[in-house]
Amino acid sequence: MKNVLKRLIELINLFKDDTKISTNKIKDSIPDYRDLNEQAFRRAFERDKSLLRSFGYLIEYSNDKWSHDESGYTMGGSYVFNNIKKNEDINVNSFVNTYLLLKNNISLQRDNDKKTEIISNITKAINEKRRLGFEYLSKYRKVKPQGLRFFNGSWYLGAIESKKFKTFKLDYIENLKLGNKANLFTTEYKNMSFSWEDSDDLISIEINIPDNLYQVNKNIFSHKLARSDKKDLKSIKTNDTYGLFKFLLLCHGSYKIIKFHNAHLLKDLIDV
Amino acid sequence: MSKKIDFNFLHNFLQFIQAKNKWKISEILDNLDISFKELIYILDIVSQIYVDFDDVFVDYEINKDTEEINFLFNDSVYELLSINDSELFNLYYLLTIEANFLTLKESNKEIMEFYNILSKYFIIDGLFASDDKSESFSFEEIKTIEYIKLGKTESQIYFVKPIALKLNQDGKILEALDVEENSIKTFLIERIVGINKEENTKPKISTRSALKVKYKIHDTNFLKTLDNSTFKVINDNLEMKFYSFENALDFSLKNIQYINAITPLKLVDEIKIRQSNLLEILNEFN
Repeated sequence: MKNVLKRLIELINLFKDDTKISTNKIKDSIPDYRDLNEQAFRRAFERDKSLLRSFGYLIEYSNDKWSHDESGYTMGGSYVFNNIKKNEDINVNSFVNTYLLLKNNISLQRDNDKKTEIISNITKAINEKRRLGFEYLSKYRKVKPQGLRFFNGSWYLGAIESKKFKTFKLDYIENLKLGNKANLFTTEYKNMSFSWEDSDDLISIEINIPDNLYQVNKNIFSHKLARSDKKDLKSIKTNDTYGLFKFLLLCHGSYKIIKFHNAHLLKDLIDV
Repeated sequence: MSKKIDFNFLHNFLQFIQAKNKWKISEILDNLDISFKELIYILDIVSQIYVDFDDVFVDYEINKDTEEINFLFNDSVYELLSINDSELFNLYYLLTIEANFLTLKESNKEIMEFYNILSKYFIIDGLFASDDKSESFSFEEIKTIEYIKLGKTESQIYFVKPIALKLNQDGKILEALDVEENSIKTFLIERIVGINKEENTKPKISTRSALKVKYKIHDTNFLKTLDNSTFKVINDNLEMKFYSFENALDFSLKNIQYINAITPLKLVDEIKIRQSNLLEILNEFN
């Protein structure tokens, strides 16, 4: 384990200048790799790469046939921090100290490797205005990313595909690839609405429910809440039929519905 | 080793010690919450790291008389720090929505500046500041929290000593010692409905028992949203284990459009009863 930890730090240090590094240079620069034969080196390097990936450091091979650059490995996954370091207007020491202070107060459990990579690549694509290509529910998509949206415990990518704004659930995105060309489009969609949010509200409901219970479960569905003087009386409008259905099942026995417009839309979902 | 010395810890250690060349040993042990034996283990690793054509990365000397350590750092130590996007993304997310950090952000100029810098890089929609909770968690005092468990509609009171705030796949989590049961528990922040209410009027019912649930899958894409280690697919059915009936019920209801519980019968019946009751209610509004 000691040797692995040592090599990981040596690898990060090797890539600190943000330049492409050839396989031979990697082998020569890391003492533990030097005396290994080619096969053993490949195995050890792949293992170390995979371990670093699990901590959010993505060593990737880059071979751009359209570019004059030599092929080699680069380290990704720190797009934001690398940019911050280059920005002369930012006090990097202060930024780092604040980061360390926050890290002392909270424990950020690592996301899975796939999500870490996707977030990093999407952030880079949005900032550099590059296209993204990925498999999504068995179909290949090429999109212009605009931003991310959080809804009901899941992250969504808001992007333009064939001139239409669409949302893609991050969990379903696979084999994400970043386009080679930067500055291909503008980012204009600050409000990443789901398509069904744009239509008129289908369902309106007046419900008496303990405020605590509403607060705990409200994020299960997208809705608008009208202002009310009574804490437990909620006037809700929504297009999210499945979300409302789940909300009512979760709060079973603890509410009283006073008015319900378009109740049949929910009845269609019930399977008894 | 009582503490897990992993890559993250080593990275944090290097970030910490580079602040100065001479340290009191006790200062390092206290700040990093490690034993002397663990410190020696880490020093052994970092002193064997070679950079820039075989220069020593960190050299050190322990003065037993003064109980101090003198470090000699290679320049690379100061350049090593790398913060990955996912970590910054999670911090940005927390600073946007978590009440405790909102207060911290508003009262601290450096944190506000940190947040403003990140906001130029992350374009995020759908994050709303959480409701104004006047009290926040203190990590020093024992407090009570009122918590609605998953699958339940009524709250219970817990006497807790907060340990850490965590962010993981389930969302924001408070890890705390349940003082009455003397065990460490995790509480989803969004399900904490009250903090610091001293009266303990409601009885606490322990319903914890492991439960294996089998589901019929309606949409196989749903499996992509699950952590691979938490489920099995056997004969086209999804099998999952839950630590309580309430957790299984909560999960089953939240994902009802993708999966339907087949066993155990108690769970299937509970879901049917809830749907039947809802249907009865909806029938009143034809």
